[in-house]
Amino acid sequence: MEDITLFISKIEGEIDGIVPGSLKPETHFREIPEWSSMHALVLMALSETEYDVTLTGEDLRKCGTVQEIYNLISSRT
Amino acid sequence: MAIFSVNGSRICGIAAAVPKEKEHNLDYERLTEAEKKLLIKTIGISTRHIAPPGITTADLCQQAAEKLIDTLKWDKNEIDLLIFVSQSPDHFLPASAVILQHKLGLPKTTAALDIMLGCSGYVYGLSVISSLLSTGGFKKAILLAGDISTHGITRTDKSTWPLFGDAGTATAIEFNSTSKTFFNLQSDGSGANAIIIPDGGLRNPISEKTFVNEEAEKGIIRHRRNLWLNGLDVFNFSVREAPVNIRTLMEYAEVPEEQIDYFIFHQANLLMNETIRKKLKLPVEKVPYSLGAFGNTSSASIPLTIVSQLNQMTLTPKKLLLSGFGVGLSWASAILDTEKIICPEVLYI
Amino acid sequence: MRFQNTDFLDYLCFMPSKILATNYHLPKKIYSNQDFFEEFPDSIGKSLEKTGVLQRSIAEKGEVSSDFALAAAEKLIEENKIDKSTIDLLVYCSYDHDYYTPSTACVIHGKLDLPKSCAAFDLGLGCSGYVYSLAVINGLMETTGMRNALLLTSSSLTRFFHMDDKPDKFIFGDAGSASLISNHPSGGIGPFVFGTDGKGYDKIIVKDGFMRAPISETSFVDEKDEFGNHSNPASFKMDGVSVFLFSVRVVPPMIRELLEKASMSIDDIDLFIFHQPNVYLNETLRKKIGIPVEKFVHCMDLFGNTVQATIPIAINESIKNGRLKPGMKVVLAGFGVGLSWAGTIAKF
Repeated sequence: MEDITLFISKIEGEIDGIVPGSLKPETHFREIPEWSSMHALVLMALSETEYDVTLTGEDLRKCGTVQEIYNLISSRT
Repeated sequence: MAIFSVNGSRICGIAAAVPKEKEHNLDYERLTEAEKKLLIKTIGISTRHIAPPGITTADLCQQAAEKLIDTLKWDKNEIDLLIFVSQSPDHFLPASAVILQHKLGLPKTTAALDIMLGCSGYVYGLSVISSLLSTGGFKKAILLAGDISTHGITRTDKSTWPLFGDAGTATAIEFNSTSKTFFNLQSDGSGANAIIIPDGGLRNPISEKTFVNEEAEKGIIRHRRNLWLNGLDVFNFSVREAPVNIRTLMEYAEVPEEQIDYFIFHQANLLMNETIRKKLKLPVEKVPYSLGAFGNTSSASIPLTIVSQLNQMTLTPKKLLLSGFGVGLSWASAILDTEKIICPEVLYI
Repeated sequence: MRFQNTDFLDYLCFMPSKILATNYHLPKKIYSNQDFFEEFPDSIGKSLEKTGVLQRSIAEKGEVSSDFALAAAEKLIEENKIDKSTIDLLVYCSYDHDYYTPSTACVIHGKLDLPKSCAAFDLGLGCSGYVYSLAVINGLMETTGMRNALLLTSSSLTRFFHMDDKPDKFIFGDAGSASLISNHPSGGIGPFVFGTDGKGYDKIIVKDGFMRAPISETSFVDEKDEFGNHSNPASFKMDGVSVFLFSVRVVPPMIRELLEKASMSIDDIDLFIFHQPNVYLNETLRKKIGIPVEKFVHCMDLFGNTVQATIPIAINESIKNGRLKPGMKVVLAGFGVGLSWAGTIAKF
């Protein structure tokens, strides 16, 4: 899998309202402004289409930071 | 395994009817402006048609069927099979198809039955009609498919309210010895709770507790006669199972992607459908959408997409792949050849 | 499942289907005639007893059709040692649904732990439902090479009864049935005859509670018909006289048409198993059609009219008591709510 910077820029590209460059590996994604289930769906879709990895709701609940999601996806690619 | 081919049926025409009443998701007061923008962008649904009290699924299907029979100039006396696919029938009993036999003025020799399924229902209905045409001596069939889904949703639940629209459709299918249709039908009842209206059926009859509103999450206030949708589970299920089901069917039928003109998916939401499209590596122009204007219309979504998006294209021979997935959990795909499908304009009732 | 050899596929495509086994499940609670006359002491016994029902099992609070169908299916699978992975189709035929959505067939599919490759759907029809379901399953099997289908037909109609609805409380019982239908060289179900008369949709009806008329304040307002029978818009209501006349009008021509289609006569048929609405009506039909007593099955006494489940229960009982033997050709006929009717000939 690509490095985390590229992963983050893809998330930033998918979710409106995130200032590019503001998202860090240690960011808790639930603290993204207006975080909602819609954002969760966007992350799940990104994981499916870009990495062919299925993220479940349960997976997301277990993760706190962007880094943790990244680690989870890379462990499954 | 429920993967098979059936000889002998051909679609001749499709008609669709929606209620006149329209709701814009931009007017949905329970979302912030940012949420509205995100919703319309990711879910892809701008407007939905909502049936006023007194209009039922059977009414919408009846209007669509009348228009279709009229357009095709079919002799009603030759229609010997009528199937109504819905999860919102008129009464507990009798079957709505039987009531519609009379309302449509079809002969008493018509076989009529209801099939209860949602998002996968159109493809399931086609499979039942195809096999009956192929073996049962039937000649002409009408498949009615649709739902008034809005009876189960509430403005106070932002996870369902912006998604669903109401629609009824009618598809005319006739016996044709040369055509061949491929199906792949699947089910997983262990996921029955993922999309459910908990009360009102026999399992949990209506009681005082039924209409007590509860806040399940922020922005999701609902009672037990409302539709409960676990969006994340349904998303996972659909993007996992639908592409596999479709790929398996294409292999079985030995039909590669290049030979298929259109992939018509159940209109769940844009993000989910696009994820499925990308996983299957399908070109954008082969995957039409009707959800922007109509929302998720349950079992009506596939025929409504054909009628509203492909209108002129279906007048010449085409190879179509249809796929429905959702409530049940239940999912099904079909590959079929069409000669000429006549589609009158969408009716606004 | 893929076949390289298309001859094999063709062979599969034309394999006939057969009802290989049946089972049924009754709710625990028994409501006998004695119970009935204790509840309604002023009832006149004679006319009611003509219906031929001695007792029926009825659903208790919390029990629903799909429970009975599930129990019958579990028994069927166990007794016949059916490999669940070979079940390609599940059809649940009933008017009783666990939920508005999802469909009950999917709920049962999950509880039976069937494979994901199994197609499942609900078919909504009443007294004609068993024969209709056979037509749908037979159609799918003959064309698709599906191996085994489970047909579950089930009713818990008594849950819709008005508390003072005497005639219906006497006639109807609840039950669930399961039938195993398989590809089999010695099988054969068909031809089929169907009929529909939606003009009579309100002769047997539960009016309120779905789309046409949602539950409202008027749903529970009592109504009384010309015979003093009680109902309300949310309860089950049957116009018994009209249904009797309808059955006498449509069933005999249907049987004649069926035999004609099959180029057979009554002599060629070994057994007639009809829907069991009441013995009085079925005796009238038997005499009108000219079916000898020994070829006609009555199976009401211990069950009552169990709507979708009557025919499979009668099949099961007839096999147990030796009247239905392998190789027999049996006419199956259902008629009632809709109004809807259907008939076929099944080879056992």
